[in-house]
Amino acid sequence: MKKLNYGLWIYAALCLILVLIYRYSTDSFDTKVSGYNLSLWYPMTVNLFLIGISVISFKENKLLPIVGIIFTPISIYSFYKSWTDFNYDFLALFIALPILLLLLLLYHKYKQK
Amino acid sequence: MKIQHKIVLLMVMIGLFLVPSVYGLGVGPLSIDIVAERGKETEIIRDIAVTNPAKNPIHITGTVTGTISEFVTLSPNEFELEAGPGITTTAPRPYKYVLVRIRIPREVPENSYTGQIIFTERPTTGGVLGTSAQLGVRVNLNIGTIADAVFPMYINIMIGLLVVLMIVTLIYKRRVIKQ
Repeated sequence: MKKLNYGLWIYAALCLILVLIYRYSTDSFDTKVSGYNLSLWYPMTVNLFLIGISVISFKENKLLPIVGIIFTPISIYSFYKSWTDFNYDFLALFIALPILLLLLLLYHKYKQK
Repeated sequence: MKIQHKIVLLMVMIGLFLVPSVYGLGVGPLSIDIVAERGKETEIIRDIAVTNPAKNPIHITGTVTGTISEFVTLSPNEFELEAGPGITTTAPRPYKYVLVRIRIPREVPENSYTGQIIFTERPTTGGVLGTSAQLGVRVNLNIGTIADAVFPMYINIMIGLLVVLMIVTLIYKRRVIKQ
């Protein structure tokens, strides 16, 4: 459970960083940040990390890795769509995945206890 | 009058009389100014009217030059205009509207982009010399910053919830380890 624990926490942190980059790439202080091009690679890298963690920790737990792998493509697509269409509803979908995974993790820990 | 001046004058007159199609092109407006917000995928459509008052049909090719060329597409960029009534009359002239599509992607940095849409005319029939005339429409595109790109409340709440869950996961993990 240790790998999954750390892995999901790091995944949530990466998602948070990505959302913050998104936020400040669209703001007015432009000179440095405008150089960022939030392409498909950013959410893809973060979600590839999630897939890696899911595969590694599949023996520890079944539910969390399966949920992670199923929702990964949706997460990548929603972030990219949000960036290109400037639509925050898709961004909400992207943030929803780490929230869901952390809630499931807490529930699982609670049950174990 | 010197002999050189006479030669120059003669050449100018030959040019004027033998190339009637040089006067056969008119475009409007002569410049397009656009201001767009950065960080937002924007598409702006304008049109340019191209007319042919001259008495012979002409073939026109539109090209885009300068830093705006990556954003601007013309439709059609090549077409023909039938013969007009002549430049001295006020009768209606054949014309065509060229659609100027300016597509600005999200990732474009804020800057001033300039360039020209150049229409090159070639006579399809008539005219003795094989010459062509050009007219340009100047395009100024200024891409500026978004004044306010604040996340809506529900996104802020979700980010807050994510941070709280991360903290709770950390604390919970430590308690479990202690026990």
